[in-house]
Amino acid sequence: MKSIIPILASVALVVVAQVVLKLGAGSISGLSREDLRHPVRLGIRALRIPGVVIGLLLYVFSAAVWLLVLATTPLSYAYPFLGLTYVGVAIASVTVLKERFSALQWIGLAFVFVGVLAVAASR
Amino acid sequence: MTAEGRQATRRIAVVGGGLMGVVLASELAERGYGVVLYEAADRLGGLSTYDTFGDLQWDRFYHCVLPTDVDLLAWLREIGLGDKLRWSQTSTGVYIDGRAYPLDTAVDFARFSALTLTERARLAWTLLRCMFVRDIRSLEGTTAEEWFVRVGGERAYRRIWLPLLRAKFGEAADRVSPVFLVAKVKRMLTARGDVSGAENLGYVSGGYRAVWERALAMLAERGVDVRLSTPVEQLIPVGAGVSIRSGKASDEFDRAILTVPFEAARELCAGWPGRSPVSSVARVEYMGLVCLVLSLKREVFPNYVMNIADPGFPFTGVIGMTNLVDRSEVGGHSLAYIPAYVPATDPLMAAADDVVFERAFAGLSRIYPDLTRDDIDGWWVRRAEVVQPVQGIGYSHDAPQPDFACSPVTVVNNGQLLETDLNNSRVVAHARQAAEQLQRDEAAACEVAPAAARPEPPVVRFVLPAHNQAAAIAPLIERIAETMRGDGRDFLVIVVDDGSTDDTAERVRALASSVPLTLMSHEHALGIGAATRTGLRAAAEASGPDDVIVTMEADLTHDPRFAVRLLDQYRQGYDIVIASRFRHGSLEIGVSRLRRLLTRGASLFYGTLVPVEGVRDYSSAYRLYRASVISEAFELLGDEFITEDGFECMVEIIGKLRRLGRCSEVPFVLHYEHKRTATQMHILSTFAAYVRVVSNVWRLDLFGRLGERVRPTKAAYGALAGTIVLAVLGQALLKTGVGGLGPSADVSSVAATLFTLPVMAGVACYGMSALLWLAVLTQMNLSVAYPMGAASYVIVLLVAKAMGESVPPLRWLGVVAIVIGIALAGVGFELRAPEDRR
Repeated sequence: MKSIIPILASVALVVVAQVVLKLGAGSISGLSREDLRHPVRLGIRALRIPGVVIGLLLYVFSAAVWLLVLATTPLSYAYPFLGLTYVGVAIASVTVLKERFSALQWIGLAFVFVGVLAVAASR
Repeated sequence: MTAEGRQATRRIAVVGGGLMGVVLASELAERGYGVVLYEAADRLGGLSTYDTFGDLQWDRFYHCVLPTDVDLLAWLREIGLGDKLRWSQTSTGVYIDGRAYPLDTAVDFARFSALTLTERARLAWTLLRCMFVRDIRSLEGTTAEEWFVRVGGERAYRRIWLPLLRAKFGEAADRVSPVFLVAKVKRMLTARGDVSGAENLGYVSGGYRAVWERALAMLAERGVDVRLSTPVEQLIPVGAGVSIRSGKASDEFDRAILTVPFEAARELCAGWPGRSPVSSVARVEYMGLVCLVLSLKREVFPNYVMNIADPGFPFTGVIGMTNLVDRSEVGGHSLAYIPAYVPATDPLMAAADDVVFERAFAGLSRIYPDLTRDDIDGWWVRRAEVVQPVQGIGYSHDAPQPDFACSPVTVVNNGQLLETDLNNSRVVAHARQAAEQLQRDEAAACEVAPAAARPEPPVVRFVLPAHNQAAAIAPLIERIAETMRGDGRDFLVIVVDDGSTDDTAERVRALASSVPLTLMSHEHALGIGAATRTGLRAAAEASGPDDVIVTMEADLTHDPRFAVRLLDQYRQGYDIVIASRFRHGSLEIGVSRLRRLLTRGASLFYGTLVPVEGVRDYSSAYRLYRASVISEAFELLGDEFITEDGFECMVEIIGKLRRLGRCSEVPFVLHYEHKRTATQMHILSTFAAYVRVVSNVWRLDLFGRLGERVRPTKAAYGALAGTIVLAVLGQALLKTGVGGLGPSADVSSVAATLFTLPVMAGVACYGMSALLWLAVLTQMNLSVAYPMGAASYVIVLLVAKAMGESVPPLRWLGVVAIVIGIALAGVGFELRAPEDRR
């Protein structure tokens, strides 16, 4: 059970990273299909935005924690926990980004949560 | 109150010098407007004015002040009459079956021997029920009789509630809703902290004459131009304002407020070009008042109020005024009022004065045997035709509240007093609220240009699917015509006769010469959905871009007057407006609880799966559509627009229009009691149809058939596949790199692996996968990206198994739940009400 703590820490970092990225990416305006053909140029443009840089750093940090997780727990046990990022991002969207959710979205997230509980109990 | 320069120049005319008009005029003057008050009579006061009875002067009709009349008391103090208030102990009674009972205190109610002990217990229960009615307007769907009989029993209704109702509504008592009585009980019980205490009533020394003299002085102080004996004859628009004609003179104002009944207001605006500024569907029935005033040598009547329930006595009670008012106020006489609330058309209204007197005297001398002609010094009969609004079923829909935003002419009258019994305190409060609202609306109007409102639709097309509606169809069409003509609109009625076996078609044809209509026919009955499809298609094809289409059921359950409300709402900028059963003020009359529960549940179910912003009632058939929205839907979907032949077409239509227009709802009154043919609800088949509709709408929506959606490109699918492969590969590499460390691994041993090939490659894959995922989300709908992305969870498990891990069944189960959950969340995101999207 002790291994759950680093797993959850990594998940939490991913959630924070995604929200920060979303806030940062919001300032990349007018993304066209042409831009996507030149990922390098787009990447350089994105790296000038503080939110994107901080978000990516958080991602790197979460990857480091994840490495620690994988060293001590089976992949098939740890990986499903990443499903919790959907739940975390949803809660952050509602509270921080003030988005509205449909009932079906909440039902879906409840499924994810129950699924993760089942995985947590599977060891 | 600071008077801004803009307001100081704005001129407002207040028509009617009753209490409503006087308070409005003074409030508006204080807010910096230039106010002119018009009154037809030679004095202020309206219904609360004073009169001369022989050598004495007192109120024309009877009034008193309650300690709880906080708004009236505040106003009286404001105009400097605070020290003129007088209070006295008075008593109330009720006369039933030849006996008078006191009804002043809770103890009197408990001892009320006209009721048995159990009936008195039920009476207590009734009072409790009244106290705990939270939304008093929700009672508007039944009559007072129905409600009070159900709660307290037949005899209590006849002996207590009916006399109270008759005292104000006369013969209309059996048509009013419980609102009046429940409000009265609430006021009575909340006002009296001390339930055993007798009534404590007040009046102003000098009567209303003193009030109006003081008010006149106050209005002059505030700069209001009071024009007495100046009946207003006509209002016509001048620029953005209004011109008021009275006699030969006319004057221009920025706006006018009419404190008269709706009917009278409409008449004043009869010369208005185009649509009248007074709602064409506002209609309030009033009871008139015939009141005998008696001046007596001695006090014959022991109570201030005695409500009389006595067949053969056309009056509703006796008001012993000098039980409240000191006799020195009225020249030492004893003064009594004998009121009869009757419709304006009642013979008593037109009867000669001495006929009224003789009828009253005959009854009074029976009820009060010691009353003789010698006791009477003098008598007078006073009449008023418009006094008490009859608050019938669905009343609040008949009396629209003041609206200053859209028009320079606004009606503010006592018909708009909802959730209350009529009294002067509420009149003061209503006038004050109206003045506040006017100021608010004018401030808002400066920010939002009125031009933002939609233009009026050139033509309104009504689509009526009808199957065997011979009894209902003709009256319905006639009422549609009457309503639309009253509202000054161009309209056309399209009846789709769905294989009727009765003479529905003949009844419709008979009206063809008097009403613009089109009759379409199905040879065999195909269902309301099929008929609606036929009608909507025809209407859309014939419509111009700004026309609107209204659908209604053809069985009289839908009152055409609400179409005017739908049109008003449409002009606010909505494309679809639904007459909703689930809004504040909505009523469903004659609908069983079970049916209500089922329709509500069905709407909730559907709205969860196919939410549409602004909609609660997904199955109401009474709707307005902007014609272009329907045309667009037929273009997009063709025959797939409406596939349900039954009633489920309604939820189907709204679901499929969810991306094509903005929706809104207005409350309405469903008159299910007018239904002449029974409809059966087949719960199972309805449920099956709902599931069918939901899956149909989902399918079309997820494939972008309902408009306004991003179609994923092949590149986006490629990127998604890349994301998944990279994610799985990254995890496998990372696991390979650090998995050998075993359970004893710590931070330093993990750090040591950082520069090994598998870990570096794994981190790279991990990072690229995350970035690519963000790109995918900008190119693809979540409903596609999420479910497909969730596949990585299954693949990772398979890979882990291949790498030698054991995967217990519970873990598989958990992952399956996670995948389903992510897929649902993605689909749910796409199916959110369209307006929610950012």
